[in-house]
Amino acid sequence: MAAPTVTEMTIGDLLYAAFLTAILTYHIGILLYAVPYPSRSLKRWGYILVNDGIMAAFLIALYGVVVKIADYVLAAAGLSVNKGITMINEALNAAAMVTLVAKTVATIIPYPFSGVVNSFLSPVIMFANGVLVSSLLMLVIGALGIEGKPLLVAASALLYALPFRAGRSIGASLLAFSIVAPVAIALFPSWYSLFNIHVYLGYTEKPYQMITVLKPVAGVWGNVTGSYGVMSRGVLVFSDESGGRFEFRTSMEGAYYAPETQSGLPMYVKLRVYAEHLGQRIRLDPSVVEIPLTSEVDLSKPGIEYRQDFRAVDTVFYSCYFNVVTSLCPIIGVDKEGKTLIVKCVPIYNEAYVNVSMIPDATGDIYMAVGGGKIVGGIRWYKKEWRGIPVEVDTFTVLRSPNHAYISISLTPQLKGDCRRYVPRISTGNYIKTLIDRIGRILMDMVWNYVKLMVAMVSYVAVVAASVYGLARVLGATYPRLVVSLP
Amino acid sequence: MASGIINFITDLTVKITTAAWGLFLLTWSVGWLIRGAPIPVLRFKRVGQSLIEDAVWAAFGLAIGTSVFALIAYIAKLFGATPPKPP
Repeated sequence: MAAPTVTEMTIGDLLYAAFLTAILTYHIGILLYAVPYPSRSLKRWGYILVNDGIMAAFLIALYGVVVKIADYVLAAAGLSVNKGITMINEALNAAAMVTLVAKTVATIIPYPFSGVVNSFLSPVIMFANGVLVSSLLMLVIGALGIEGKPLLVAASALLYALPFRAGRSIGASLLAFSIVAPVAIALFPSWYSLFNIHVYLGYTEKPYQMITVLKPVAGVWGNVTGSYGVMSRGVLVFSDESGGRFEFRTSMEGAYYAPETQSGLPMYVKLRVYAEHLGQRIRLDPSVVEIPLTSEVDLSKPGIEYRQDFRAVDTVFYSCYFNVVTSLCPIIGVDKEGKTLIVKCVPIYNEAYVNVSMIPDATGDIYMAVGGGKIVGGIRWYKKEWRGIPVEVDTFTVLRSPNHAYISISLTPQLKGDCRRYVPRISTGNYIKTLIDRIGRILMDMVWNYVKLMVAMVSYVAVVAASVYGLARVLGATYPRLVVSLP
Repeated sequence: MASGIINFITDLTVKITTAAWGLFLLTWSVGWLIRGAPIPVLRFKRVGQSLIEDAVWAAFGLAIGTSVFALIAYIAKLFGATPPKPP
């Protein structure tokens, strides 16, 4: 029989060897008992070894349970390891990107200016590098603790089983690590959120946004002041309370009947809002708003209040490009075919592009100017279920009417609650000064954020290390070892 | 490699068990020898007594050694075979 190689040593072999070692430890303990020399310390060692052998055997036999301890903790607390890993990856990416961009900028800028720029950028690079190293460390911890968990537990069981407690400290440390590491990775987002860090990580469609802090940048509000339907005409008016309003108007060719709407059929205005900043799309929260105008809105009684704020990442808005999409389906007729309700409505789909210009000044007030956009019209068909009844929108012939039905909605883009119409009274010099001031503040914010990010990362690594140390002590290590140091 | 280590541990265990049996007999005999020795020193006699006690414990441990580990494996199987589902 050929001698098996090292690679053939599986986890099963390891556990078997560990079990045999536990038996060996037990018998050594018995041997010490049987030694015909009445020494207290010798007999005490015998007692310890017998106990250790039995405990190690239990640990090995319960291997399956021990491996799953961390999984139980995660499942019980409703935590996800993937989220933590993704978040660390994101921090890593952000740090790598910042380092790359900062180094590129520092390289491109010619000599006399590079010194000034470097004085700004070098702390950013330094802290980004710190974040980079810490996130890599966290990822290594995660990879070891999650992927290598079965091997770690098996190895620690073998180390536990070694006679005379030769591998007890390191075995307990490994075991503690394999239990703590997955939980630590999963708890990372919570720790992260404690620091209130907002490092802009780009536009992401991820379900969590702990890194970016969204602030109100715009809003739409007003009252439904009038809404009525005539045979061939429907009017819906939103009016706002403040000056400096931007009117968003959409009109349609067609008609709807008020009686159908009052019978409780769905009617709503859907707004899709996008914002652009310096050519980049900015995530707005929410990006889709449905203003209900269903049967709950008594069309004969005006005065329904409506307000919706839009939030986006806190950044410098020099010029925004809002794209507002309205869709509405005024009903023109209803038929019933068996269980299917056929609603005939005129779907209106309108898009408006709105330019919003904002100039920040030194005091923090924001001026804004609203420029009109163009309105793009279109028609879309809807297929909807309404109150459990499948509703089909049938094709219809547009009622040829000399009148126009239109809805008028007033939008007031609002910036941080204090918007004024832009009056170009700021001089170019002041504008540049303001700009430089603002950029400087952003850079300082960035440095501060990276300090916080690094503190969060490093402190978390320390907390994880302390948890491993503590658990290792509980598991029986006299001298817990987190790093295997060579003499 | 794996079987080498396993053989080594098994051999070692067998040797130690054999040695332990031998030592048990020796300790037992020495214990009785001391107890039976015509020396009227109580402390000396007590040493013999403790040696006999230790030897008896060792013999007991050796005798049930295999059974203890079989029991552990059995109990663990009861627990470990179907771990409870996480909540």
